[in-house]
Amino acid sequence: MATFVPFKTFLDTAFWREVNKKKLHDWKLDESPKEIYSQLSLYDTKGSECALSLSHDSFTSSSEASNGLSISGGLILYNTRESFKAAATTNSREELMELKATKIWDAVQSRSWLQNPQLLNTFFIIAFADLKKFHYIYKTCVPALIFPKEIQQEIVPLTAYNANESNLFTHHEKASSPVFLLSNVSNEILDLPQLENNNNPDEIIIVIADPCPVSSSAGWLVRNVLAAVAQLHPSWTYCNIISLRSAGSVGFKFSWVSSEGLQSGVPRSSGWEMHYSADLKKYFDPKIMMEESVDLNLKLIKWRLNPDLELERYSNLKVLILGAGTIGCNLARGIVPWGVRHISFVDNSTVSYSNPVRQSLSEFEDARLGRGKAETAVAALQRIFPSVQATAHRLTVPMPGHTIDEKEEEQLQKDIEKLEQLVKDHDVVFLALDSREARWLPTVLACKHRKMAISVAIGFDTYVIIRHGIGSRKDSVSDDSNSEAVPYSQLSCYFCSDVTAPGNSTSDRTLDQQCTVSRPGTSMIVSGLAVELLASVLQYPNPLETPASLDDNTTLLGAAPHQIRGFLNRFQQIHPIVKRFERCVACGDSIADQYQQNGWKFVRDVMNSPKRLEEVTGLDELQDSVDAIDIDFDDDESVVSN
Amino acid sequence: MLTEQQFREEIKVFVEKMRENKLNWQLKENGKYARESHLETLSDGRNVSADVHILYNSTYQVPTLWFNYFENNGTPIPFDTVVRDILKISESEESDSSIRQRISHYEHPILGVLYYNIHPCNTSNVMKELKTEKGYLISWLSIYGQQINLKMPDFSKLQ
Repeated sequence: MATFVPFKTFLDTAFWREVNKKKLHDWKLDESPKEIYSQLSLYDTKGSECALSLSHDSFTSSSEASNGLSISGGLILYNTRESFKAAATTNSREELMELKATKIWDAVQSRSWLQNPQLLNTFFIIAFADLKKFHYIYKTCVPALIFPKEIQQEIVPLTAYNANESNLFTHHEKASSPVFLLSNVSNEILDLPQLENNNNPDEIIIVIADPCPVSSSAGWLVRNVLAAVAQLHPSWTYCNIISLRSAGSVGFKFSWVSSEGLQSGVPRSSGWEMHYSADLKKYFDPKIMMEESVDLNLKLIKWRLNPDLELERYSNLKVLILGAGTIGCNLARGIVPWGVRHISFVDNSTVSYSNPVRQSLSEFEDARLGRGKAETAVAALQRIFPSVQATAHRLTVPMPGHTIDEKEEEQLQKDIEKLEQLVKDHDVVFLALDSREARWLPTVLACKHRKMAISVAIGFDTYVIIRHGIGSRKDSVSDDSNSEAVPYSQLSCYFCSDVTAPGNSTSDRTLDQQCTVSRPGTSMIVSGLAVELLASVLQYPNPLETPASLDDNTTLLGAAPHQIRGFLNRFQQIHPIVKRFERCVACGDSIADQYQQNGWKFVRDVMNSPKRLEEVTGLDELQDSVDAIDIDFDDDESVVSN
Repeated sequence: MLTEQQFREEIKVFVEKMRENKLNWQLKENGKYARESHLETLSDGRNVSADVHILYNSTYQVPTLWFNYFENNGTPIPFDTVVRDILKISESEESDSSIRQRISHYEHPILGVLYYNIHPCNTSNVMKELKTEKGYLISWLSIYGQQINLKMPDFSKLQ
């Protein structure tokens, strides 16, 4: 028995995108069949089915059909899953196929197929498209008449047909005819209608463009040609075929049991493919598309530049940004493209009219309506990237020197608890607050909970980034390495270089001394650098142990400086590495002990009297001892401080 | 570099030549671009369809390659699989013309869905070093097509 290689539908994403568009804008609820076209390829040698390919251009009849073999068909798109299911039952499908088979049989009976052999080739697809979930189900049928009966095949070498394959191919291309004849007598190429006048099956070879990749069988389209030939010449019990393919045409002799006269009714047919479905939410749901694009972009970085890059260290990272001002906003904009999805903002103030032009996450309306800075930043981030998980916390960070009275103590206790919880719940804390003293408590808390803390601060035309040492000094492993790298646990914090405690820095200052006045580019520069410092640190085998080093082999992304200090007046930048100060007023051991013992009460005391910090750390004694040193200066010698 | 007019003339001749060499290239949208499709076999044995387009990039004035791979139901093949099973580009490959450095993922200018594309910023440099007597597009594709496993005709047969 001869077997014929069936079709398998190959759709692409662009096909479904066209379906989405047409369904929404043109077809709407119209369920009538829509004409579609498939470009068949005579070039495939892979696979075990003939490929019925559909793409975005399948909805317009190709004026360029001369490039190959195109067949037309219909798409029936049902409005509901139920009506699709009803159409997909065995009975409905048989009926539908019979309808199409009747049309083909009409072309056979009327002999119109000789003028237009394309009438023998058709296909149709029943489908349902859920345009909310972008889920598709479909089933394709390429009807083939089961006639004549009991077809046998014999493969015949092309030489036996005296065929010049490349002539045949050229003819097919030029005339764009899917079926034509080759005279076995004159060896000439003949047009298909001449088959009518030919009564000897040995004198003629029927050439059929065949998208079949399997060399031992003929493709599905050959069946209807055999049916048409058998009906045209009822006396024939065999015919010669060349199945024309790019990778090597195949000669066949097909024979069958004589049909003993004309077939009267429409023969039975077959041709339904399997049931398929596709879930394309990832490619059509705009939110998910954006997520996928953001991720793919990062994957491309990984693939192109650094195969070992650990991207999940960004996507799993929880970042706490203290201060949703210029720096906080820009930090967020910088870490989101790295794949960071979890961001929490803490701020206690509202957007003012001077903010939107500097802050990349607020607008005029936010200022006009007096919206909270943290809330505004979250809303903007979610508009920019709906998949981001951002939360806003309106909270005043308790600050040394900002005295409070007794009735505020309850609130203070709550604020400290909340801040401590936030620090605990995140992996990285950015200190982007606008005053020195506001960074004090977060530094203490980050130390206590062994979190990465990065201070980012700007002056008018200067900036500084410091990644604080992790945990307490006691954690640090003995410094036995001879390299210049300093272990993470031994790095200084924002306060280590200070010999006085942070006080209320804004109270006695004129406006230009407050750091909110700065060259506008400064915040973008410093935020970008801070983001990339974090990005580098996260690529160290264990990020919590990333030493400070300017060696560009420190992490996968290069160096991991401790501090970055920039001076825009000279466009200069330095990268000092500074060790921790044991008597530091923020990360010093005695501060940690005090906070451990007295908790919020210690914070309260410090707020009311910053001198308390100097007492605890012994800085006051140090100060006194420095003051006690008596240095004699010559009168004409000037002292330059640096 | 090619003007758009030159590109259109070249692409027409190119498609004809490819078809003469039994490669399934087609001219699309009145010669605006050329398309080729074929099947690729993944490491698990599945056949997926490959769709390759040559489009003109008017910024860089060079041809660009756009391509993607789909399961038969229209789902794009994940990037990792594409790299591993189809492109098979080694991680050490660092030649200037290697697509490893230039591959991107963008919305296809005509189809509107995401396709891979080889960024054209380096194409004209690469082309300067090539003899283009066989035609610009054929020389170009012999460099870039090779990297996505595109079948090329036997050059000795080409005129």
